[in-house]
Parts: sequence; C-alpha cells; structure tokens
Amino acid sequence: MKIRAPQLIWIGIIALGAWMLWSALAPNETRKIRGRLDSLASAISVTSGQSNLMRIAQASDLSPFFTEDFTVRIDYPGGAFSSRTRAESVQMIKRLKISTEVESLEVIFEEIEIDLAPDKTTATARLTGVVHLNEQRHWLTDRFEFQLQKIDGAWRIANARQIQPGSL
Amino acid sequence: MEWVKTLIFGKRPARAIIRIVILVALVFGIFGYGVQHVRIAGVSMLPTFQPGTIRFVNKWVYRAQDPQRGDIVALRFKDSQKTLLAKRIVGLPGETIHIVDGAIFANGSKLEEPYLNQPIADWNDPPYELNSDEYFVIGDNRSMDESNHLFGVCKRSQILGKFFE
Repeated sequence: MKIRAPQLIWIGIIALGAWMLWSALAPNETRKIRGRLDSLASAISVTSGQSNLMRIAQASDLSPFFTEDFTVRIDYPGGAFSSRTRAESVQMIKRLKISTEVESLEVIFEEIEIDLAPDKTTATARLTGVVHLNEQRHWLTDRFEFQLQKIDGAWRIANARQIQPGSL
Repeated sequence: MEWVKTLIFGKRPARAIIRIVILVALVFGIFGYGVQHVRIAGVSMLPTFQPGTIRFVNKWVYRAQDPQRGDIVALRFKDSQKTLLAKRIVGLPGETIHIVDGAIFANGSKLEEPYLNQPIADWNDPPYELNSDEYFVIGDNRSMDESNHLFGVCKRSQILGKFFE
C-alpha cells in the first residue's frame, strides 16, 4: 500500500494530538512538580482588592503543599522568614496574607530546574523566586532550592532555602 | 502562484536564497554569541536604566580586555543561566572596597561617581579586599533602602558582558 503526502500529514497530526492528550492526562513527574510550584505561588499571592475572607480561604489550602516537618529559612529585606514545622509556616503565611500592610503580593517562580531522583519519590527544584509587594516591584528576587518528597501520590515541599544568601 | 514566488525570491531565486542564508547566519551569529538583549526589570539602576526598557549586552568585549571601573555589566545571578543582574563595576581585583554613608572608597580613596544624580542614602559596608578574580558591583540607585538593593562581590566568571550605553 502506497502512503501519499496528505496521508502522512494526517498521520502526523493524529500522532501529535495523541501525544498532547497523553501529556495532559498523564503528565510526567517533572510537569507535576512544576504545576505544584505554580499552584503554590498562586496560593501565597494576594491580588489587590481581595477580601480578607478570600485571603484566609486561600491560606487554609496551603498545608497540602508541605510535609509535616517542613523547614524554611528565607531572608528578605529587613527580616527573615524561618520555621521548622508546617503548622508554623502556614500560620506565618496566613498572618502575612491578612496583614493590613499587604495590599497585593505577587509570587512568581521562574527558571525552574528539576532534578528527579532515580526512585522518583524525591526531587530537588532550583528556581528564581520573584516577589512584588504592594507597589514595590522586585521587592525580593533570589535563587531558591526546594527539596520535595512524593507522599501519597502528591509532591510536597520538605525544605526551602535560599542559594548562597546575601551574595550575588 | 508565480507572482508569490517572485515576491518572496525575486527574479533570481538562487541569489535570494544565498542572501537569506547569509542574513539568517548573521542574525544567529550576532544574537547567539555577540549580543544579548535584556529587559530591565528592577529599579536598582535608576536613573541610568529605566525599568521595562530593553538594553543590549556586548558579550565579546571582555574577550579582549578586562572589565573596567565604571562599566555597566550584565552578570549571571548565582547559579542561574537566565536571570541576569545589571550592575556597575566600582571595585577591581585586589582593591579594598568599603562604603561610608553611600560613598564608595577604593583603597581608601573616595570614587568620583558623576552618574549618581540622586540623593544618596546612608549605606555603610565594612572594608572587603577583593581576590584576583573578584569585582565589586553596585547599582546606580543609592537613594533606595540598602536592604532592598542587591550589591557586592561577583566573580569574573559571572560577568556575561558590558551593556551598550
């Protein structure tokens, strides 16, 4: 049977569609982690004009992003965000989100590089984190390293730290 | 369809294709190895660089010479391959740099910085002796809070190139 050019094009289009459908329905672990980090950035962010009720509701969804023994240490202009448990971290984020001093808070994770362990249950994500606070663009820009663990099928962050804090 | 062919390739298709190949090679050569465009995002280089503007970096210049004091350079941020910082070089390898009330001193001498035309905040930084592969870089906007401004020591290997001014 001879295959002609139009048939080849159709086969290509169908194969591409099948691949895109497969990618969307069964994303690989790296894509899952990227999606998780994007969701976390959205959950921490506060849009201008958002009600306190909405902010609290968003913050109460934060626990599934972290392991119970989640540890974090992030230096920011004029202070540091440090915690050794998930409960404490979530409380701190909640307080930040409903603070009257925070009119808007935009968290963006860029340039995400993910190293997946061979057993595919732990991973390291290195990324550039950008925070715009109120009118101040780039209030915080730094490189971060997140250690992630896959627990009950979901990726959770076990540790978050700055890479070489205080240096360029 | 003949007119489409003529429109794209001209009356001499062979020459047009050669011109296109040369043009593509030039564009890829220049923007791949020689020049990089950067969108300025922050306010640390005000008033010299406005946020939101596009600037170009000469990546060839430091192959023939070392970075000089006063050069505005693009440097790689920590381990990042894409995120770049725009800063001005104020300290050269081997010098001792310190900051007193926003003024920079190199080996004890105060630097003349004509590009600073805004009020300077009282930044203070202890003396630091730069190694042979280190430069001290800082932004032009020293009216802002010191804790919001990224500045300090960078390695020669972090410097990608010099901004066209």
